[in-house]
Amino acid sequence: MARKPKGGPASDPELLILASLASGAKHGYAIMTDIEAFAGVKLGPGTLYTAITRLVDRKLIAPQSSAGRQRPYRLTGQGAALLAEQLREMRRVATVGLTRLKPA
Amino acid sequence: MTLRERIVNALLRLYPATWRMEYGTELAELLRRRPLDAGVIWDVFWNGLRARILVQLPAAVIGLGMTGVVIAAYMTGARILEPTDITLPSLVVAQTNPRSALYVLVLVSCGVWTRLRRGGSIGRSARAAALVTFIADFPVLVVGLATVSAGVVAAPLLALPYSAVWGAVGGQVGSWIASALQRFARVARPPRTSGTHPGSDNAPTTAPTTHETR
Repeated sequence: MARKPKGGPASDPELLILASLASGAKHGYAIMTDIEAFAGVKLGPGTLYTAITRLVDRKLIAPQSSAGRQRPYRLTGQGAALLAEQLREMRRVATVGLTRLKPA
Repeated sequence: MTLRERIVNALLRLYPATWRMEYGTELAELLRRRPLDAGVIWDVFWNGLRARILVQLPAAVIGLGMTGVVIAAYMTGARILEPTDITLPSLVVAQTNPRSALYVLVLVSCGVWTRLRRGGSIGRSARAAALVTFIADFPVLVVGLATVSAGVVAAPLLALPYSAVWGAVGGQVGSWIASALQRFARVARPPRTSGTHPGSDNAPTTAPTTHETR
């Protein structure tokens, strides 16, 4: 079921996690703090792991083996492709919207 | 064990066991590393509940639907399901004739749905059907507890084994349907023309008989 992001199109937890992992593998806490830093969105731990579960199931991200209590996750090829596609779409919509907002 | 650890453990228990095995340690670690305010507790509580409902989807949906039917029937005086002691005994405890074929059909359907959607053993279908009756009878159970009526409390609980039996029947029917679908998929598959290894038609099919819909 598609959920409407509360804070606009750039606040969808799954998109934010994919964007966070684009810079390299991270574990849950690192993803959360990274998202807070680059998007200003505070994801709750439950929301974060619900989104991570969905992304793993869809094979968009994959857990890496780790000796610690927190496993890092990495972006898969499929996840990178989907992220790129979604960001391009957002840029296209943003460009059109901003152009139309310009005073004549 | 500190209060914080108790809260974290209680919150984690909301999630299904299979989910906890995969992600429980990580979520617990995350919760230990940040302030446990009301917003965080609510977030974990709500997502845990959602995960639990999604795992029990057939039973939860049917059970909540039946709860609605029970409440509506009580409020309107309608005898929609003609409940009996075999089906919804909490409404008519004393009757012995299994008149409610419709409710039995609901339980069997739940068993079939559970088997087709989630696979697993017949026991899983039986537990799902028992859960349907438990959810459907929950308001009655609450009323029984509130009025301290042992009969009203006991009746829904005594119905659980009966419901499980009908769920198991549904699970068996679901197994037959799944096998039939598998056979149909094998027959309907177009013949391979090239690169086929002799005798490969006898290879076990990889077509899934169950699927998870999100």
